[in-house]
Amino acid sequence: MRDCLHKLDPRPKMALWVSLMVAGLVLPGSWQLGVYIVLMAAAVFGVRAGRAWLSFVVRLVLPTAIMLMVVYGLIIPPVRGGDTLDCAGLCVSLSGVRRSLAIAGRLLVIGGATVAFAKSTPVVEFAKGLRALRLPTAAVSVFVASYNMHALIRQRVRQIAYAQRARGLRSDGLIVGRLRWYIPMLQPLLFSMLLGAVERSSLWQSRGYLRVSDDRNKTLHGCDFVLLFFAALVIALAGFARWHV
Amino acid sequence: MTNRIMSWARRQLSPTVLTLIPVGVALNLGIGTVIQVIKLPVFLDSIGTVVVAVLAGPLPAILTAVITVLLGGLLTNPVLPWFIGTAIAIGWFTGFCANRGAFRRVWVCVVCGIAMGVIAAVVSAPVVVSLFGGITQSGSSLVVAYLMATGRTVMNSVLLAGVACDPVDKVLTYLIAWALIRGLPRSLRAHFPRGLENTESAGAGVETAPVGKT
Repeated sequence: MRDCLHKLDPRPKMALWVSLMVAGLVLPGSWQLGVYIVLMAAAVFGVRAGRAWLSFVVRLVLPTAIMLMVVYGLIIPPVRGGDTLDCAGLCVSLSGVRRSLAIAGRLLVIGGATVAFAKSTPVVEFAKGLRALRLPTAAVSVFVASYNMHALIRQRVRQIAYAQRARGLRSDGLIVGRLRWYIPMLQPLLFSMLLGAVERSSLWQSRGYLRVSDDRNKTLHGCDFVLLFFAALVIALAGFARWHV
Repeated sequence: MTNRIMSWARRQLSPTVLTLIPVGVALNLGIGTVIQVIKLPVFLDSIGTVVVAVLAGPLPAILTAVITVLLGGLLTNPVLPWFIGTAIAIGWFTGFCANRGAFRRVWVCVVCGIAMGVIAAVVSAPVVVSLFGGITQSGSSLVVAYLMATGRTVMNSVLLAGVACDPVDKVLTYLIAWALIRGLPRSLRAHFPRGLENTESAGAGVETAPVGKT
């Protein structure tokens, strides 16, 4: 299933991604959202993005949900006449806990949709999809170049950090000392990156930039229309659940 | 009208600027690594946007910020694309201030950083309220929780906490970007459209013959 999804046109995948996120926001915080989360989890594990999704859940959703339950359930006074629970001497607002779980559910859905899309669509294919949507070629090229440079900068940051430490710069101590160490680390990084940018611009101009091969995917196939149908169905069901159920 | 806008955009986006934008994006996304190394309690995730705004103007800065949140959403944090409005506001306002000489004097830079913090707090408040219920993992959530416990609404609490906490991060971002750009050689800054104009006061760099010599 993962290989099939990788081969699909990125445009219907983008449409499904956006529709899943919009549906996650629109759905009311009740059993509909729970069903949606279960289906989302199945889809995420189906495209083998489960590890990335679980990492997102542990890093962001769980801590946020715990903080929300503490704030909405314990700290904020419950609404007069609202349902509360006496737990170990603490007055817990059940409506606050429900609201916290609804927010956590929405984060799960939004994160799951984005992680599934990111894992099933290589950046180069995403760029092709953007070009097929008639975005300017220069903007798409800049997007791909940014992605490539992001992978290189981490390595360069570590190299510069080791070199500066070898020269005696210390990164421990008070915050002011750490901030003063920050500039000598960033300065050579920015200098080398700007030099590279100037060099690349000269190369682009000498090669007549913007003249790239026209490899846009212009036609959609059967599976692409199935994904588009699912995207429309998700939005319709979410809207129906929100306003009519 | 559309043709005029497109031709204006093409003039703003020369090849030098198009190669500068990935540098800004990489700085925005990569600074997090540096923050982890030296364990600073701030974000500093828009230094690249500020550098591009000073060297090239508001439109490239907006593109840098938009690509940063989109790429960051795909690579690191899936909820980042929802803050695209904040990113556009940072790019536009920084470019606007830079084009008016805010980065020629450090005190003007600080004032603009405070204003930027307020604007960022106001623009990001609706997203924080609708997506996170007002509580994120940042330190300002404690302030939000306290304000909500005193009876204020979620939106008011998030706005007040943001206005109190965001300017610190933005002022620091502006000052660090100012220090980085001032440290660049003049010959390198001259390659970029606004590199000299936005960083040097009027009349700077004009060479005059020394007094007494011919």
